Amino acid sequence: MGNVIDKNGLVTAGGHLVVFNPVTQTTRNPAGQIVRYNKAMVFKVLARQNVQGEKYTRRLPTTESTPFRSYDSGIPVASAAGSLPARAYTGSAGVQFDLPGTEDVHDMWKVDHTYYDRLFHVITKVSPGFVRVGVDMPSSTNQAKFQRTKKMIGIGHDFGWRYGGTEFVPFPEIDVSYQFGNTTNAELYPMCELTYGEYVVGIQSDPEIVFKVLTGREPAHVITMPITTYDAAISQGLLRAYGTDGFRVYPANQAGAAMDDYQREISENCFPKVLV
Amino acid sequence: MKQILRLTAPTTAATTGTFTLTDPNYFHAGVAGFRLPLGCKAKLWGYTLSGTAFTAKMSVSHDAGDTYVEAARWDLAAAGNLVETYDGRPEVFLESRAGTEMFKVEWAQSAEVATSRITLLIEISDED
Repeated sequence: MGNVIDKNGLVTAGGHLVVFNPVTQTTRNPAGQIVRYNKAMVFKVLARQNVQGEKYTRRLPTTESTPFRSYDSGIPVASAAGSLPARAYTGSAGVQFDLPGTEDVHDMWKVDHTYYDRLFHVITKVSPGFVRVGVDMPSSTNQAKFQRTKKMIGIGHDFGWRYGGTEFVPFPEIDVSYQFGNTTNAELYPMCELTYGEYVVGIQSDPEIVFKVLTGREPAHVITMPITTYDAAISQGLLRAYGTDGFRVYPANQAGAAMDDYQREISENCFPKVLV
Repeated sequence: MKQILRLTAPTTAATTGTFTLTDPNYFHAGVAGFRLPLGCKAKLWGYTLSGTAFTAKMSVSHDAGDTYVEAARWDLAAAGNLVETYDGRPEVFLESRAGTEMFKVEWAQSAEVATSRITLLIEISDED
């Protein structure tokens, strides 16, 4: 899809942001055949708040009491706030960036359904770059899996994570936590650069534009949810915030059916206040 | 991912020893041998030996530090600075395939003085 992002990777005002749900769902078509499909949230970015300053650099959100797991044995402990012990990765609950004065002081990205008109887009870069980074959505749920859900992978395994950073969209009502891992034998003191967009958003209310966005005919920035299982906490969170958990993605040659479906989704399910 | 580490350490008042390497920007504490992240390469961009005369020996291990083999040796023959850079042609001296690869640097000097220092510019990368 086209380029609607700026040099920092954030969506420019007027652009579309698509959050794709990679968990394939099934339904039956009118002929009774099983049809597989995916869904995606389609947001129009009306504006960006604090556009002159959207970077926040801080230490890793760990303390001496943060639970860690070991790549070897034993229970690693951080020697100081902000450090990542040698041969260690964060506990199953992960960690979150606290911030006094926010809706949830323990998690700067967490807001409730009343923030339906705002959406954070967070690009996290960690230095040194060989720190493993993962995101759990919902928090405490390892969604990194291989061969459908056959094998668990992720931060504590040989693959299923990224070195040095991640990009995700934390939705209102849905808890998200970070996982960090260090396979070196040095206790690290990482820096985290959070590039974020606080978007003023709405769900696109024109079925034709939704179809164009989802078929790549209208430029958009696409982010895939870091999930392999569609946890009820995610679907219920989206429904509480927006009234919908997304538009079904149709093939490009099914414009008529798609736009009928989108019109129905917009008029019957989406909360009117979230539409733009 | 590419990360440049500026690993530095002083000698101590002993004729031989292993440098406790640290990067003040990213390490909370130094280590006598550094274990590479899985799947990463270590490339040497340059080194500096400074202070009084000493010899530095870099060794690599493929078994989490149980055994080491020598990979490079540098000699500061007289008091001063020995600076070498490999701009544009860094040397890959260790590649992590099992996650158990390590490197360390030892010193040898004629007197028990803590008057020298080594600095290594090392790139840790999971790219070619």
